[in-house]
Amino acid sequence: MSPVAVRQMRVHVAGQRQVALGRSRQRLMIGVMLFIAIVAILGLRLADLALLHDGGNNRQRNLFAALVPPRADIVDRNGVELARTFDAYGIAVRPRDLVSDPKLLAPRIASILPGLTPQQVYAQLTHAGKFRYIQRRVLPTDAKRINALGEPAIVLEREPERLYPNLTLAAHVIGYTDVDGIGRAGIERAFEERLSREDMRSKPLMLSVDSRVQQAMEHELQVAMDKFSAIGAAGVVLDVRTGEVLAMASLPALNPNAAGKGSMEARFNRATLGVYELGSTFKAFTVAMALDAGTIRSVGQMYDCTVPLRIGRFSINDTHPFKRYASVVEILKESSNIGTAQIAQELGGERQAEFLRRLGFLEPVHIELKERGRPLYPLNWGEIATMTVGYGHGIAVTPLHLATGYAALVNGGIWRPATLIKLKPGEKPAEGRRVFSAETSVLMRKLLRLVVTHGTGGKADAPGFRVGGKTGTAEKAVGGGYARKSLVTNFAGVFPVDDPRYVVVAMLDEPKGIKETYGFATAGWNVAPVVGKVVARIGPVLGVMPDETRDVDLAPLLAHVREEKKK
Amino acid sequence: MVAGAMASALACYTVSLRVSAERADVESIRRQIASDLRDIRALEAELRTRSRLPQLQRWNDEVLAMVPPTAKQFAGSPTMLVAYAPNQPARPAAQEPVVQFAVASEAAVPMEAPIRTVAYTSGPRPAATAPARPQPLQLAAAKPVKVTVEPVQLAKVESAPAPKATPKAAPKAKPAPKPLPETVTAALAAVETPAAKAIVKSETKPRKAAEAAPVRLAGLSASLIGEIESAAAAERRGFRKVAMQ
Repeated sequence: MSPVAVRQMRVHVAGQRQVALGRSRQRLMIGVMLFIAIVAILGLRLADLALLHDGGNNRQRNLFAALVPPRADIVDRNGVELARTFDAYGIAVRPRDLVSDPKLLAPRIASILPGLTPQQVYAQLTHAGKFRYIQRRVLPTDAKRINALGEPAIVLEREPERLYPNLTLAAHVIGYTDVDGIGRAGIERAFEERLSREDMRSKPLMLSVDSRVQQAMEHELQVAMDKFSAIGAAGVVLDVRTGEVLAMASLPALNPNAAGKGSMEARFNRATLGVYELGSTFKAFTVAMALDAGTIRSVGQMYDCTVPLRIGRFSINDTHPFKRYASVVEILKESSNIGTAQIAQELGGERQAEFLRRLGFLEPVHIELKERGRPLYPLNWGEIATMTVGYGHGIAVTPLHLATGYAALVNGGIWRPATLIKLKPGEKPAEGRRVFSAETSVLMRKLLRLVVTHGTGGKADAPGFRVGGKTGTAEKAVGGGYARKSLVTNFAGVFPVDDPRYVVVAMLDEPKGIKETYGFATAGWNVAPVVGKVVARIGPVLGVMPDETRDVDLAPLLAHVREEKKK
Repeated sequence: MVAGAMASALACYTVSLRVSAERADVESIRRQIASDLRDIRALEAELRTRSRLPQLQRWNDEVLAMVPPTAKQFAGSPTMLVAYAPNQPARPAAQEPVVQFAVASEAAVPMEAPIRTVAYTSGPRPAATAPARPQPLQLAAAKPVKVTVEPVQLAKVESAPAPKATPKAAPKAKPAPKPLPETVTAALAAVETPAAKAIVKSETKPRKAAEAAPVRLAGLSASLIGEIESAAAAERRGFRKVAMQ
């Protein structure tokens, strides 16, 4: 365009030009201000990052923060790990990003991952979703091999997994978590907050359980369970002075690493959730109550055991009837229902219920776990109920109840709640309450020892460990009556009797008689040996010195036992 | 002037370079530590899983077949320990072998010492005398699961009874202190037996101590019994410490 033309145009558009110029200046200003604002924001952000967020420190903290597990470990009283969180591999796929042929890929993946069929893998690979898990909790070596397949759509996820290194050991105590890492049973459930809280996670939770004792208990119970074809078993080892639970077992065993695969039966905690009529083990309580209440003035007091006891339409029988008058010592030694029923009758229902309430037998057992069974006891505590409760029928409690009760019986008469948390050194045990007098407790120790040395519990003796205890055999209540063939046998033992340290309770659910036991399925034959073997194994571990030259003096009690004629 | 400024600038730059290099090193070491800690955790998990107690139990059931120690395998008192000697004082004193008792260290060891152990060695025995068969002392922790247990717990004796003729009689008898025989053949052939290994287990240098300070004794004097007893007390304290952990 020639200058002339431009000049002409300028003249022509003079008015418009002024307006346009003004507008463009405005726009320019806005642009400049935007730039300045952006630069200012960036500058401020930079200053903020440089000055306020100390980048280096932050990174270092993250470095070590990653080491704090997302959930606290659980350890036993000696620091042996029972549960820990561990970064496991999960194999997932994004089906939409798949490049290779799923028909070829599926068998190759299935050949690496045991327990998956090519069809299952194929179904996941061709799924319509965005993200599918093929398998979770994969071994690191398998994960590496899958990674080597080179399929970009396959994702290796590192996800925290709860690992229980000892498999079935103490499974019912520890419990398990669900796939999201939330406790669903046992300690994992009861201490959910403690285990997952940010400030507590780095410190492991120390239980009172001793894994060696736990292993001994579980093993011996399992052996007995297999031998006598029992459907279940439970066992508890309790420190009588502090109420700490050193072992608590429930069989059939459960693997908490795959809790979902366990049966209902396996997940059921028989030690705290199952309530059972425990039978004769209650007789020791009845005798102690009567001694304490003063209705038994001497252990030589005689009771009429000549004939079965008839109360209304009920008749109370003995397996080995005395057919004569028997002393209290004999009644306990031979586990006489007839005699104990009379002792309970003299004591009276009211006092009996009060004693049982103080022993904690009329409420769910005191322990941290949430799986606690409610005891069953007579609503109408009449005379017949008093007599049957006296020998452990008509009242159903958990094996842990029995253990805490026996602890109170022998530790000087103080009942304490059971605990699964180890006491810190110097920490006082939970406050207890007095149930029996100290004198009663001392006498009961001797009586329990006598049951083992001279009575029904002979097979529970571990030489040198001075075991005392009482057998219990009860018929299972089935549909309003008792099933004569399905028994619950149990044994409550204490050692060493001269200075009680530990109570050992073992229970078998529906053991059968075998040839070796001459067909008997009673406690003295099947569950008492379990306690004997467990004591022999755990005694040295727990620092109880076996000594065959030491024992309590039973002579004053044996004076009240009449020599039976040898058959 | 310019040269001076250049030199100082260079010096400053070098210093700052070295500082930053050092910092980077520290950072990489920290990263290394963090990754090692992670590895330790992973390896621990693996180790715990492999050495799980049910597995040890299975090995024991199938292969090792170890059983818990019985009451007889525990030495109730130092005197009882001495009574396990293979040679009994039935023979004339003249033929007595010389008993060597090597004490780990001299009596000056303070009572606060957590563990003090005595090592016994048998003296040269006359080859002609066939020693009585020693009691098999399986004091070592019998179960693999009981690794932390101190196998021997020496109980206190009220009086110091003289070692009796038969090993079995010794623990049961608790007589008033009898006149001690002039020479006691209570040599412990224990060093070869597992028992001795268990006894000296907690000691740091049992053999060296035995060589260094052999105390030749013609018999068991009352002071020696006291010595052994104090060692037993120390042992017991150590044991309790272990048991309480």
